[in-house]
Amino acid sequence: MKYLLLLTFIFSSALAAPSQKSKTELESELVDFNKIKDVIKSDGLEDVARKKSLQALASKKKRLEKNISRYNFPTEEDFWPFVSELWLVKNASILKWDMKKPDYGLNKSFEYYLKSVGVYEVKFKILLVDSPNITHFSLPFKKNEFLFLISVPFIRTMDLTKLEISTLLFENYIRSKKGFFKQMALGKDVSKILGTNFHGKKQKSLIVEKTLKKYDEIILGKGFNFQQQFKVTKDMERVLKNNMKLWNSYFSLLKKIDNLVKSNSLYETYTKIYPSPELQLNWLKPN
Amino acid sequence: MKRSVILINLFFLCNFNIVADTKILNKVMYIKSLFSLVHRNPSTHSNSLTTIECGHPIKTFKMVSKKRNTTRIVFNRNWYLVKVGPYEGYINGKQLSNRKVSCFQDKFPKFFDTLDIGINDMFYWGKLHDQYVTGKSKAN
Repeated sequence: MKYLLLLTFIFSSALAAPSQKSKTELESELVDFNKIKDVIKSDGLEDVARKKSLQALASKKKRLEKNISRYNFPTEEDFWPFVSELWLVKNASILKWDMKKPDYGLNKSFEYYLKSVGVYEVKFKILLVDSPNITHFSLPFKKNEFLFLISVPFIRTMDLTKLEISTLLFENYIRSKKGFFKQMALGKDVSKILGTNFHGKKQKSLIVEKTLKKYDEIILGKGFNFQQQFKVTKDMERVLKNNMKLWNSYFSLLKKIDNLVKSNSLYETYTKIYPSPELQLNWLKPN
Repeated sequence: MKRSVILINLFFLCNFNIVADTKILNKVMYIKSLFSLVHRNPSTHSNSLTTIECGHPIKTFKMVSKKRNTTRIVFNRNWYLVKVGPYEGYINGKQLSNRKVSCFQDKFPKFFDTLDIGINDMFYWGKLHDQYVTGKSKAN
């Protein structure tokens, strides 16, 4: 019995011994990063970690920039077509462009006219309006695309031919190229704002409202001045003198308009917008 | 008797032609104007069904006539037959693009939100694009 007890004790003590680790064993189990720093460096893990954090920073910066860019004001190039169309939409009831329009074949005739005066690769949009409130106009649009308005009652009253309508549109093209409308419609405060950013600024910008008011003033009120008209007429003369048919058409058109504004009270305000057909005729006459 | 037989035959022939026209998906296109109208018929003066914003993807369809084992496109010129939500109508091809264009409201979303553009304005804007007479002096 004694032997049995002794044997059990020896076995149990032998089994218990491996669970108690020695000090040296424990030390070897703990990872000392200082010791393996060189190994990590040689593996390039530090570079990978740095790259990843830089990437995360860059994407965060990009996301922030994108969010800020959502608060951009349109640039001048984007602003003009938008505000011109907005003016047309807001004044649909005054201009009455929402009508079943007659097919004058203006796209073909004006395209032919432009080509005959050597103007190529120019896009245009023509909007026919059923109102005498406006006779003919060119609104600021894209860099190489032009937006023209022309009144159907004006065409009918004057009994204009396709050539005469195209001549009127071309005069508006010249006026638009000179940028008179843009100069008058673009306020200093508006031009400062265009293309900037309003992130973090709480006030609502009134650039559209201000510009629409300017449009009203120019188109329905004060129009262009004598100096601007003189420049346009002289430019027309310079271009059309090479083609006598077109020059004669321009001259006879101005005569027609002059007669109309003198005889028809509905178009008395025409001279306020485009001063004046009589003077234009004088400027065209050779001295 | 003869007349009635002819009339019945004509009726069946017409009916057959109507049944033979089938609508098949052409391609997905995108609105490129700021706003655009879907019309009931392929005409600018036709009633409008709905107004769609720039960048909206549109399923365009072809009407195909299957007659004597030949397939012929009946209708696919300037106007596109489209389906937008519950509406099925026509959009002028000038207002559609094969690729998604950069739209004003996407480029300047916060600025666009500050403007009070109501449903009425959107409708008129769509109509405006239908009313334009467009052209280009091509150099050729």
